[in-house]
Amino acid sequence: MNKRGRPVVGGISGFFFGLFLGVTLLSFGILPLNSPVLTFLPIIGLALGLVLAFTAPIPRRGGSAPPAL
Amino acid sequence: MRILIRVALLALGCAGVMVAFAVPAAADLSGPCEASGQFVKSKVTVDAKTAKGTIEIEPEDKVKYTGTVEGATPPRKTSGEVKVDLPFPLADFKPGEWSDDEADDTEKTDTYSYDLPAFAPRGYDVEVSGFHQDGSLPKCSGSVTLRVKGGFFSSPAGPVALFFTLVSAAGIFMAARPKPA
Repeated sequence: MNKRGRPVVGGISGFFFGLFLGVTLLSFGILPLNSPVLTFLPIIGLALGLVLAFTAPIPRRGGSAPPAL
Repeated sequence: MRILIRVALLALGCAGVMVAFAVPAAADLSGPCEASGQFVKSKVTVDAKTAKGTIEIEPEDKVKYTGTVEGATPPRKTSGEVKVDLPFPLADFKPGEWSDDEADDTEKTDTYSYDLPAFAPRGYDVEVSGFHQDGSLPKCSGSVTLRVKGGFFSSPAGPVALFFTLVSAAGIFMAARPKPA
């Protein structure tokens, strides 16, 4: 059995993580309004969410993760 | 421990990208033009040729602006625009755009009013740029960096965004755990 998390949840959460992180950094005055980082953050978040969901590196509490093939 | 190191490396990488893309705060104006604006409520007067650094303005204000062109011979063809740079894929906001095939004026004075919505974030740098093409004269172009007064808690946008950042991070955490067998 594949050791895998939830890629759909990971992708959606990652995208919104990047989007809202951008607005947060904007609100703190760390990024200017025309910064390209605001465009890249949702894409980086999407990729990060997918990678973490496919590799599932965080073990479940109270039991060991099934071994990867 | 390995995941913490990976997250720390990712955060450092993101910080490096942010520094690399940071926009220097400045104002400039090139070409045979003069432009200035007086922010009435903010009590700030900005000369596009001499302004230095970031100019702090109020979220709601009136700007009495003046623009002049040296050496123009009316009537002539003119065009230009003033825009606020927004991140891709958002289209730039253009508060002013003009075009005239037989322009006679070499100076314009008017008032522009703006009012940021209450939910819009405050405290970040906004680059306002523009150009004016006047007949066969060299093109005038310039930009100025403005910062709306306020901070993280001055509008609901900051705290709401931070809340949903944490909710999304929890979603990533959930997705990064293996499905139960």
